Amino acid sequence: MIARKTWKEVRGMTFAYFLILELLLVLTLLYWPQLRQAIDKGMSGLLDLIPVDFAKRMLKDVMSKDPDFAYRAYIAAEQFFRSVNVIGISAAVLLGTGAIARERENGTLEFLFSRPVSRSRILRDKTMVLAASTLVPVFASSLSVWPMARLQGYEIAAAPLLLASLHGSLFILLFLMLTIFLSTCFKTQVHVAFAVGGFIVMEVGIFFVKGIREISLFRLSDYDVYMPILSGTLGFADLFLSRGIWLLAGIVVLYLLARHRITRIDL
Amino acid sequence: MKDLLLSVRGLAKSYGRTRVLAGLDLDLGPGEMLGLVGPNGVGKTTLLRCLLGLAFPERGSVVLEGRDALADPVWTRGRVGYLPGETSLYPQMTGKEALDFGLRFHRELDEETRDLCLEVFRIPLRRKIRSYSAGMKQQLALTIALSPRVPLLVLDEPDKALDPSVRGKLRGICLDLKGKGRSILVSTHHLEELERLSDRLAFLVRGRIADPREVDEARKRLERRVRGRFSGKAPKLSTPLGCTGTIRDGEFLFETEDSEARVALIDALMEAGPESLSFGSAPLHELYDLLYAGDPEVDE
Repeated sequence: MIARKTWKEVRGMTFAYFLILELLLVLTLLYWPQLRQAIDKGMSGLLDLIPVDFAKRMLKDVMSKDPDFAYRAYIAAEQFFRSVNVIGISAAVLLGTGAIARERENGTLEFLFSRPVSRSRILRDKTMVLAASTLVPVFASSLSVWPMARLQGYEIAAAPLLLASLHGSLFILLFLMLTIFLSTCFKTQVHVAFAVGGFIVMEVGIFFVKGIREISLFRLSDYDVYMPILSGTLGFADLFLSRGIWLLAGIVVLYLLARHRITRIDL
Repeated sequence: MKDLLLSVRGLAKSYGRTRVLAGLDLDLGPGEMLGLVGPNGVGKTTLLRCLLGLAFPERGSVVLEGRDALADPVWTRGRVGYLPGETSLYPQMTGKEALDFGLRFHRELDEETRDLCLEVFRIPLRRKIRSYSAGMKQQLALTIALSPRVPLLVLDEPDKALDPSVRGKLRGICLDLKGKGRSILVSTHHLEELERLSDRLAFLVRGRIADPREVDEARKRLERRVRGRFSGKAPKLSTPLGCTGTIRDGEFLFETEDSEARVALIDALMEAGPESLSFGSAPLHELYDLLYAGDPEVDE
């Protein structure tokens, strides 16, 4: 019942978020032939204009003579590094801020907590629906690359797409859990949004500063992760042991913190 | 102890430096209706929230049906129909959805009471709650609170935002539920109505239920009062020997320990031609004022 209620609250936002993600993907794919054409006309000097190393690497891969390799690099950069990270995290923050803080703001928390159901179950049901609302569009959108690539005459296997989607989902889930945890701590959604937003801005800042870039959370979900996945050089086991395990640990810790916090909300 | 449905012992709760409940004791028998009385900020809502595990007391025990209610708050909430002081329903839901959502978690429903509430209150169930008036929301919240088949109903200001006609209907439903053996713990500011409806009143004073002896003493003191109301200009009356006098809301209040002085006072007031004259009674609002004299009102 809690799950159904939560789904009703977020379904409109989930659909809108999926549409944005899909629209970006379509635009990305449609843009590819034009970019390819420009590269063929001799745009190698473009590489020197890019200030960040990973961006240079990204562009170099996209400019590869191997069309399938270049196409994979393009998908890794545009769909996973950009769209999934940016839109996915935005959706996670938008959906997660209200998990508990909106109930407080609307004055419905006392009504919800006074039902004969444990607060842990309330958190679990809400988290499940919010996670599904955030992640299903990622899978649906990313897997649609497979048929669309074929239509464009490129070959990209479904298994690496699935693995990249899974990894991207874990990364988004980490931000969703962070937002839900903060939603149990703060009394208004605005405070939650500011706290998460501030954290994200800080992480992005670190990501773009040479020297400290390696400690940024975004290193767990950047181009250097997705390109090897889509190229088939980074398999499930290696990915999980090098990065996935940290994401999973973060998600579990944040969930436990949120559960601890929600059971101690004193009305 | 065996005959009690609810037994609260030594309940203490503070918010920061403000002590709200200071070792409160409270008993409620099966089928009994207890009215909880006190000004804003005295801790009525906190007490009710503590009973349901919504607020956490620092110490004390709550025993419901012989079981530790604080140890298993989910079980406790399954045995209690609760109306929160702040009517908080989901504005995006229709009345029917809110009713289903509110009752879904209770194991057993008292369908007869639910149908009676729906019939009496005439809630527009198909409409979104955001379009409801405050009174409609309160009536829907009351239906949700009263409909589970549970031994205890905890109602925090049930008559808030209700018009007099609906208040009368609510009184009828409460009496019906009491007749079915439900115990009711109710907090409200409508003192006369509460006195009419409740088996007992519990005055919450400085974090505790006032000692019945203290309340009895206050009642006796009030019974010694002579009240005279005069229309137009108040008569010139000298306070008889041994009497202390005050004027409140156009009413002369005289108090004396000496029965002879009281007789002399009544005679003097009668001669002055009062609109009304009363003595030997202890109106609840005066009892309330006497018990809470000097207690600052604080928002909860």
